[in-house]
Parts: sequence; C-alpha cells; structure tokens
Amino acid sequence: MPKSIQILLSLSIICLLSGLSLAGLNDMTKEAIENQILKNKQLPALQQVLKTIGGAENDLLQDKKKLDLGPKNKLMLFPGKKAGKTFAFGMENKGKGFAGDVGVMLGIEVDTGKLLGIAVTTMSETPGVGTRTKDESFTNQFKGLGENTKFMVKADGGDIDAVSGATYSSRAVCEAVDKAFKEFKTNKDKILQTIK
Amino acid sequence: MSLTSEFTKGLWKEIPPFRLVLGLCPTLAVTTTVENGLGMGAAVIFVLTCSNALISLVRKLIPKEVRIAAYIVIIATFVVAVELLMKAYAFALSESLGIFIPLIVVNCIVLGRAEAFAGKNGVLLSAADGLGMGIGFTMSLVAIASIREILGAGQFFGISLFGPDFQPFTLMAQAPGAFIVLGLILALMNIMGRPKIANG
Repeated sequence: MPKSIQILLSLSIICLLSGLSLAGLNDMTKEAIENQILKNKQLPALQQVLKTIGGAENDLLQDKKKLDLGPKNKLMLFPGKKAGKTFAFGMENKGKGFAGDVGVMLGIEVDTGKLLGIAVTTMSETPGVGTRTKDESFTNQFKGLGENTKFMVKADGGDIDAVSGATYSSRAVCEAVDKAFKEFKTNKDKILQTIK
Repeated sequence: MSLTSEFTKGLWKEIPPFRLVLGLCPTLAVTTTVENGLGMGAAVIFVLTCSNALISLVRKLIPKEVRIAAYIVIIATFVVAVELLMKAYAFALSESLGIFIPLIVVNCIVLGRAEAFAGKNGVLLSAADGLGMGIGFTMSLVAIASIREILGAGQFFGISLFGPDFQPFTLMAQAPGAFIVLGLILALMNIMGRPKIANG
C-alpha cells in the first residue's frame, strides 16, 4: 500500500473514531450538563432578578415550564409564585458578545409586564472588561423598564448606558433583553397562560 | 524495564514538574487551592494513562510521518471526554479549573510521554508509565498547592486552619508566589541529588 494511502487511511480512521465516540459521550452527558447549568447558573440569576420583590416562595427550578413556540423554539419559563399565585416569571435569551454568546435572564412582572431586573447567566467576555456587564452597576438600570424602552446602547440611539470600554458586551446584553422582550410581546397570551 | 520500575519512576526519579520540568503552566496556574490541584491531577492521570495505553496499542498502525498529529487527536479525544464528564458531574470544579482543562491537550507531559515512551513500548508498560507520571504530577500539584493555600489563604482544602486574626501571605495566592514556590522546590530537589533521566 503506498505511503500516502496509509497516511490517509490511518488519520481518517482515528479522526472518525474520535468524532463518533465524543458525539456519543456528548449525547450521554447532555442532560446532566443541562441540569448542572440550571442549578448553578440559571437558578442564581433567577433568584437575583426576583430579589427586588422579596423573592419567590416556590421551587423555581421544579416549577419551570416549557412552551412550544415551533420547531427548534422551545421557550423555558420560570414562574415565581407568592401565596400560590404567579407574580413574575423568568425567561432567558442571548446576544452576540465579543467572544461568543452572552446569556441573560430577565425577570418580568406579570401584572405590569415590566422588568424586575436582569442577570447575566453565561458569558465568555474579557475578564475585567466585558465581564463588568455582570455588575449591578450596569444591570440595575434595567429595573422597571418595559416594552417602550429602546433596548440598545445610547451610542446606537437606544436608552441603555453601556459599560465604558465594553460596548460589544453591553450591546450583547441589550440584544438578549430586546429579543426576549419581543418574544414576550409576540407570545404574551400563551406565556401568561403557561405560567399560571 | 519492569512494570513496577516504569510506574515508580514518575513518582520521584522522573517526577514531571520537578525533574523533567514539564507541565509547568498548569502547575503554576491551578495550585491556588489543594482542591483545584487534586482535580487537575485526577484529570491528567486519566488522560495520561488512557492516551499512553491507546497510543501504545495502535503504535504499529500509525505511519511515523504523521505520528504527532495522530497522538494529538487521541489525546484531545480523552481531554474532551474529561471535560464533558467534569461539566456533568463536578460542575463547580470544572468552573474553577476553567480553561486549563482543555489546555491539558497541549500539556507537555502528555505529548512528551506519548512520543518518548508510548510510541515505542508495550501497552501495560505505557499505561504504568502514564499512571506513575500522572500520580507524580498530582503529588507535585498538591505539594505546591498546600504551601500556597496554607500561607496565602490560611486554609487547607477549604478548611480554615487559623483563627480570624490570621493575616494571609497573599503573595502566595498570586502568580509570583507560584513561581517562587516552584523555584524553591526545584532548588531543593536539585540539592537532594543530581537528576538522572533515562532515555526513552
């Protein structure tokens, strides 16, 4: 067998086996990893956004609901209850940041449709620069904002004060909030029905 | 060349960070706490042993012109496996080790042992070599991490050792402290005997 064929075959087989086994392992661990992210990233973000109204009384993770909005579009909603009644809910969306997606959890009050607050769930932005968009000094300005707000940084004509030096990351957070709010507006009835 | 001697050489005579002076990047970066050191060590033991064994198993089937590329794919496969398993079952640890888990792929110890040993020796011997080097690496990490955690944070494995009045030697918790501790231990080991490194 000529050398070049030997090389081609052996490398192809190694890469094929590697790819297949990793794909299989990925499938096997997918659910466990999702649960870990729920517990370690989304739950703290949820608790933070609901803090402003004194927090929720229910198990936020256990009561989560999935709303089917079409193929490949399943919205995860986290109703927050007080005295058995849903007063707010959390929903997550993401925006394109400097180094990948920035995930943002929104807390929306049911009665007013306004934001209770936001919290960043996942990001790989530059430490000390883009990661400052996680700080309350940036996220606090989202409290009380509603669908009339232009969720863009002021430099782009919007209403949000970006973190200085972290325009891309600030834009990513705004994009996430904007997308989430648009999704809320479009599917308001279905969402409010699901989280009762 | 017995099974035991191939295993034990990684524990002292040819201990990776201090004698072979390999794998220094994670040695400096993850030794802030003993828990991180142990976690990284465990991941490296798994990758080293498995990749050494598998590479040794298929060494006759890999043309020597592309052996490095082939070794890297095999090593990377095990590293991704470790990453997925850690994220699924030890999430907090995977967060604190962060990017240094995927960086095991380019850890010189792993590729170094693959090229220097597993590519030329039998499966059991290669596995023993990998296991010994991995355990030696873990012991080194824990040694450095113990010093840095006790002096730099007053804790060992997260347990506070001194009272609230303890003023931590914060330099130890930062990068310069890592270099200093590594340098001191290297000097100590050199005083204790000239390193004799066998070829292959």
